[in-house]
Amino acid sequence: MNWAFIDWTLLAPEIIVLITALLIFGLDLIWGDESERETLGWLGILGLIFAFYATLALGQGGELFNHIYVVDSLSIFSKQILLGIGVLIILASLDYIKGATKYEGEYYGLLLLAILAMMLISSAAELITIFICLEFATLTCIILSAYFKHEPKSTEAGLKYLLVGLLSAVVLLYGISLVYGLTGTTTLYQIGGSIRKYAFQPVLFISCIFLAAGFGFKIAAVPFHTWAPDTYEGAPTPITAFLATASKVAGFVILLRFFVGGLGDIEGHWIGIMVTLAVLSMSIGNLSAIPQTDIKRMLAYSSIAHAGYILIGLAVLSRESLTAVLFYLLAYAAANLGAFLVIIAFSKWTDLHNISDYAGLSKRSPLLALSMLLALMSMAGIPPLGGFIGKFYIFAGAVSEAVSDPERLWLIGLPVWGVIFSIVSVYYYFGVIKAMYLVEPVDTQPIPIPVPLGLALLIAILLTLLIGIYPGPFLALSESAIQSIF
Amino acid sequence: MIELTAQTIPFYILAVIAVISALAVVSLKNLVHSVLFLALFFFCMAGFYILLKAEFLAAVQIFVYVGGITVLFLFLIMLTFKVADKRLRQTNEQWLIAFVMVILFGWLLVTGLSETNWEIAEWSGPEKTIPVIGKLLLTTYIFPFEVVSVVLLAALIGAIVIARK
Repeated sequence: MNWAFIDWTLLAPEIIVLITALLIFGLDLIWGDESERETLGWLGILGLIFAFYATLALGQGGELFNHIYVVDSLSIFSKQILLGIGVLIILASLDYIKGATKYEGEYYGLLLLAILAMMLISSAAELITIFICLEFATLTCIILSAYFKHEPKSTEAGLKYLLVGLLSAVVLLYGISLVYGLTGTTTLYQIGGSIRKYAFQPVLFISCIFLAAGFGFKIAAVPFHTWAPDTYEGAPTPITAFLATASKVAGFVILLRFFVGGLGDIEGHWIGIMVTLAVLSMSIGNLSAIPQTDIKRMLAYSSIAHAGYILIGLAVLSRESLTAVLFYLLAYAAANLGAFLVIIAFSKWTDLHNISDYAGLSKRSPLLALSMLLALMSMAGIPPLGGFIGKFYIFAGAVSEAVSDPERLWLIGLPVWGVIFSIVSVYYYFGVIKAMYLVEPVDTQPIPIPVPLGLALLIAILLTLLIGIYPGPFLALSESAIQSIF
Repeated sequence: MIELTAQTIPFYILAVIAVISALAVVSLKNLVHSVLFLALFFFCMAGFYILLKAEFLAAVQIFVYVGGITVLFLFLIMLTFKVADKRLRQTNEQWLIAFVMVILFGWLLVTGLSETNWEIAEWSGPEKTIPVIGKLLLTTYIFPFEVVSVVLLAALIGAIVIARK
């Protein structure tokens, strides 16, 4: 390997995030004064914005270390979403975390490392690197979930994430070792080439199941979702928002890169797995969300259901449907962040988490109620919001593929199933809206919105609206991103 | 199906010991006994590595797992209040479901692995593994190697944050 030929600028965004994280750890140590801690959060935001600028300068990208690390349009797209999510999460954390823990500086540092890990996941194209980066992300998320260590629920959240995460890591590693045994290589680039000759290989099918289980844990698809409701409920709410959005984006990008990019030629091995995961996630996610009384648990099940809708795009496997996957991720992240930011503002002030506690929110804080309304309507798929367009493209992609190819007519069942459960989901989203707008408040005290959180909320809600009203540029972005693997 | 040759006999002996000790780890009632069987299991793993001509991995396995992790487990058990001599049940009422799942999983693996036409490499690997591993870690696999250092940093800081009062 000749070191002079390595284009280090391709790693610029990651290096900037890493240096910012280290700087935060260092400054946190030097600054004794408690009141300085908020500055560290702003420093983190600054670093993320710089990194975002660096991604704009990547251009066409390239590959590093013999296809171990790939910077292509897909990974740049994913890194930009992740950095954006990171900025919003830190903005929302500034007031939430203040005084809630003794380790404020480390919180921002670890959050940056979690973002770094997910950025690495979106570029990793070699099985060992993928495994290490996935474990890096899981580890930082475990620590952040258990951050309020004096609250039993937060500890429980971290512990459940740890135990299920360990199991999924072991299964993933076993799958990786089988793929290596079969192909003799670990880079996806070479695996794709050497695997093409197989019509059907039982071991390959088994390892596809194992790998889908490992990645399915990250996106919280049924049946690998068992950690999600408890972790979402117990973790500090900004971290819940982070898990529900960033973790899902990274999980889907690695799913796309591995299955579509790496094993795209032998799709017969894994399409059935995706169909099963999609159907199970949509059904169980939506049905379990209905009886929930805790709003974070309800959104956890709803995020499981959304993973199901997105998986339809993978199961259909056409240019159109894969574009829709990325577009949906964008719309879903914006709407979900909007909903969680409202929860952060509300729970910080009232310390209440039940859906019934949101009674009369429209009178206590019209802005929060309106934001929640738009976010939930987008997730329910009501026009003209982002979620509607996302669902439309996913379902339309499936229908057009089913109609154009008579052998794959069965694909039409997936969008039908999706539409049925989207209608079911309207019921539980409107439960919250009903409480906010139609029920009289018990406590009429208005709820203040901290300025940074308000800013983040504004960005998330405007983005949800913009994606719905003017989807063109976002769709073009998703399409150019998917071209690098399909 | 089972051929007994100079290579396979040690494998079968090790395999039987490994399975029995792994079962002992998850079924014994005394934590200390479980940990000791875990150490035995790790030794068997090191034996497999030697059979596969990966002596360096075998040594690392013994240093890290037997020497490091098992001893850490023992310290933890001894320092935790009143756990060392307690008798704990390791299973709950779902053990039967778990057992059935494990059998199914094993059946899936065995049939899958035996139905596959594995390509057997002609080359049996390098004479000395240590220089090759070292070179690979610092050239081809430099990237994951460096990422691991950041992972360790995150783990260290996280452990301090979680464990300190």
